[in-house]
Amino acid sequence: MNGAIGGDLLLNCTDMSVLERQRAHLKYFNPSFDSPLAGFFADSSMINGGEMDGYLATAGLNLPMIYGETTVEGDPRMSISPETTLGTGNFKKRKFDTETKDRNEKKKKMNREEVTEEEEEKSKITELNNGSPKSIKKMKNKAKKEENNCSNDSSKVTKELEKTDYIHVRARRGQATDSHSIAERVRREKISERMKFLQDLVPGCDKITGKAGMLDEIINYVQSLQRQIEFLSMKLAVVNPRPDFDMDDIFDKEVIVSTPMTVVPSPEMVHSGYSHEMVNSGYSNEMVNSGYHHVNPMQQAETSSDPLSCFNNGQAPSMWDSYVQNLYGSLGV
Amino acid sequence: MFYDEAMMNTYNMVKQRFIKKWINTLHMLDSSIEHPLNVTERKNAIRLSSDLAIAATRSGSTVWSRALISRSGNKTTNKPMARRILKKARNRMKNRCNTLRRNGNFTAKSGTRKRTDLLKSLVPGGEVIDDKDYLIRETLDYIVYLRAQVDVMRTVAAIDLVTGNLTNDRRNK
Repeated sequence: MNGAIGGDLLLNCTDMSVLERQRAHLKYFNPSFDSPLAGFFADSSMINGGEMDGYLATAGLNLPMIYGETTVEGDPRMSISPETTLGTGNFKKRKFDTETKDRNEKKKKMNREEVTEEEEEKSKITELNNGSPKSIKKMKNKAKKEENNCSNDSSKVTKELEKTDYIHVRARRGQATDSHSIAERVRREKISERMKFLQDLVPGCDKITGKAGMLDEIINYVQSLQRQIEFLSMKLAVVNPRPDFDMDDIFDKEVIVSTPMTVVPSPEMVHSGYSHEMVNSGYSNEMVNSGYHHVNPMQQAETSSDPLSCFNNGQAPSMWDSYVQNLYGSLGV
Repeated sequence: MFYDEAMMNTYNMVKQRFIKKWINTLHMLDSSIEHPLNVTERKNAIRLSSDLAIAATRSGSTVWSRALISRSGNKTTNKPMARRILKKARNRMKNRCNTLRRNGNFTAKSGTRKRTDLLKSLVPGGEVIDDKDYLIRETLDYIVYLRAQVDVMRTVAAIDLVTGNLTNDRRNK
């Protein structure tokens, strides 16, 4: 997929797109983003008490780069409101500046252009060494050959990007150096990256190129997911006399984590009945298959009927966590 | 769907959080509505609680989660409950940006225009998003959480089916 992009940081500077170069800079500075999907869901250990409020990033590599908000609660704010984030002096924002600078969608107000002059770089470094937070500056860029740039900024990029809020982008040779067009190009590349991610997310999109087709698939997928939810809630309503009954029911049927799993005799009925219903409702094959697939782990999680009857209801609250963990542990396998 | 194991783990964590919140919303909803209900009303209650729970699980700065909460809040007859859920979610949002309407100079091609509008109607809160770029981001996020919601509900439904059969067997013995 996008694996090659991250790895070739300093090697292939010639054909890197604007966006890739931005990401390369960030990657150089913070190698943790190399791991795929590193920032997909906010790492709960990093922010306040396990709240996963980090904005979703795209799958595959470099996705945190696209979205910009990996783990910080302040990040989404940054991307959403360019006007308010810049001067806010938010502590969290500054702490994660390196991660967030690429994520901003301040197309109108900011130009991201690379620092090519060495004097500028040196002055930046001096400013950085002073330790004061940088104010935002615009820097105009003249078109230059890529090779010079790559050799210059490989070592200085890290320092330079530590405290700045801008990612500086180099215009490719022969392309317009107008600030607006560069920003426009960055934006277009971001959109295409996101479309690629959506391709991974939405099943069956590998063959489709072009925005219209992709949008069609996305729309279909969202619609099918929403219909599934409608269908599943109807199914739950049918089974349970009261809305919260289904959860109590789950509490009653305890799942023992450590005991060997026995196959419940009824799963075949579950499989066929479930798949059958899904097919009848006119859902796509993907849903049926995934539904089938999801039911499979469940039969391992259920014990046979006899031990269930002797479980104590009073133990339900304490066993709940282990139940849930087992449930999703088996699902995650 | 996810090729990375770490991702899968976080995805499972999302599902766990969702199911816990769902239990809460189900109980909250159950205490506020009168019984008995017919199947359709039960379905609506379950759907409502599920949507509220998934939006509360996200409860970040996404447009769709906030729109879903406010949309679901209007549906419940019990205003205090809706306000409670909204308050919980709102506490985490703090000073999120209100300037969602960002007027773009982007000229949409006619082919994608209709589809973009359709997508806007699907994603909760999509109507207020003018920026197509941002709309796609929201859609991405929404799809993942939607998927988590579907997975959990499907699992619960499967459990219910299985345990329902077991319960019947026991009763029939």
